Amino acid sequence: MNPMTAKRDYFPLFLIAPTVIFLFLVVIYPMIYSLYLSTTNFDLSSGEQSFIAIENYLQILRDSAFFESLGITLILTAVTVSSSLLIGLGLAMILNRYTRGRAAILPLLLMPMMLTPVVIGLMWAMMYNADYGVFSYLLGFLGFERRSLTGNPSTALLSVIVADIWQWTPFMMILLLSGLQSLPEEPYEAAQIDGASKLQTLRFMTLPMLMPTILVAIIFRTLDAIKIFDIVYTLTAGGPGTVTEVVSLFIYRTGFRFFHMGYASALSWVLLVITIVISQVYIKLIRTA
Amino acid sequence: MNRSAKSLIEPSAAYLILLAALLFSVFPTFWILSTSVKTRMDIFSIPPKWIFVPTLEHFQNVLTDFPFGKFFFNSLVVATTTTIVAIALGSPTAYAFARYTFRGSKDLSFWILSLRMAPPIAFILPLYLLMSNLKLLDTQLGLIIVDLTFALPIVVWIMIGFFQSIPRELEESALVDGSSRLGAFWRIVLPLSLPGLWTTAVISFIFCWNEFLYALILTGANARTLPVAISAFNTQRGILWGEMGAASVIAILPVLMFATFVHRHFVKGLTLGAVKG
Repeated sequence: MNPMTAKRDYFPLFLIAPTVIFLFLVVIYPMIYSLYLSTTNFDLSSGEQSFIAIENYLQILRDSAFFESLGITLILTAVTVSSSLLIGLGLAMILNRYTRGRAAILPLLLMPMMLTPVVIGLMWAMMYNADYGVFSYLLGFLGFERRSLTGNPSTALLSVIVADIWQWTPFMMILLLSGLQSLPEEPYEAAQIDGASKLQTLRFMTLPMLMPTILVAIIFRTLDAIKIFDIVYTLTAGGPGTVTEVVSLFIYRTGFRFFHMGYASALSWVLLVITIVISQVYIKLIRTA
Repeated sequence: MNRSAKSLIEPSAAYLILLAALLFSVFPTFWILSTSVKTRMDIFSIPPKWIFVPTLEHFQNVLTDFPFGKFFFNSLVVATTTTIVAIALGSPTAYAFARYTFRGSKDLSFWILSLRMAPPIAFILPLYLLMSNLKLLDTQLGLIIVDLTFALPIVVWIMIGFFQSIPRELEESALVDGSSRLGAFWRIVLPLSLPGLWTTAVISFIFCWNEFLYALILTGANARTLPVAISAFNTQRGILWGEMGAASVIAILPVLMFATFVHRHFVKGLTLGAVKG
């Protein structure tokens, strides 16, 4: 089809119109409303609402609780994304090489990423329980003090991270396995003839060729991990204290427990901008890779 | 070390690692399944009991003492309706993106993609106020509308991939035979995409079924979905582990059923087709 006729072609527009109109109404309009709210001190419980310009945003800059929740989220994201990437890569390489029985165990290995996150939080809460949890039993069995990983401020974040790694390593594994399976075979044959060691092959061939897949996996996992809410809500509820209060939970509490809707809207916009910046950086990376 | 012994070490290590991964991956699910059918005595026994006489009392309790039947029904209605609407609106859109380039088509499709990446907590504040104004709080319809904000992008992006894999020649020959473009889409392309449509529908269903944050904020006693109801069994009510287990099993049952069919494609739901599963 030449570009001249394409311009006058309404057929594709007719096909996309319902979706785009719907999404505009349900997303764009509320987001503009939220931008407006962020310039007010709207309080849902008292009904008070007056214009305060950028006061909320200035307040955020002084809000140490917000930066703390942001820090917790970033630590969690960095640790779970890198751990699940490494474990997933290892497993993908094994599965790529040893195919016997793979079809049978793959569904079981992939199960965690499909399970309801709320249930995953509860599952791990049960297992971490100090008195009856299978984890603390295991700790006791190995000669350690029996304790609750979630109840202790120094290990609570770790307990969330372990549950998150459990859920998302399968995602990394299957993405990287698909990536490995689509790599060409000829370079490997050439490398073998040239006498390259396994480590050299991995370092100088597999990893560079796999890089686009690795980047995609990192982007999607990072953007997902920043949003983490469900598992934390049922596993630790942000506690003890606020040591596991991730940024989504912080905004949730500000808006729906304390009803500071104006301030929560400003927080939402800050989070949205952070997400957009991260995704733009990554998309640039992908384009260059 | 001789050659044959050396060649055995690597595979054995590989399979041992796989076995460990398999155990780690399956154990928590196994544990909640077993908790749901253990008696209270067995649940709290130390050391943990591996062999026990199963009971269905907790399932009975969650269905009679708590209205889990109703929550299950709410989840089912919301996830099914959202998925049907998302497929109905989203697949023509996906087809347009797969076959035509027009001014702004790239930007539009990336805008739809970005909706799936944005944090839901940022959307829900104004949507809560909107639903409150529309008197749609605690209704299935309100939740369906909001769930479509992630279900639609998922459907559009996965279906683009499926439509691109169908050869253009089939439609072109239909057009030569005098079919309209809409007719070619409806009678040629859609039937051929049926397997893809089913896969996409199942993935969309699972995402809606698992959704928590929107349901937590938008629903109350009337339209509450399973994940919200289950989240109320927090660690403080540790005494109700059996009920918690039974409710959890009810919640993950559809996922366990579907998982065998869509496990490889599910990745597409998470990456929106950026990577072929």
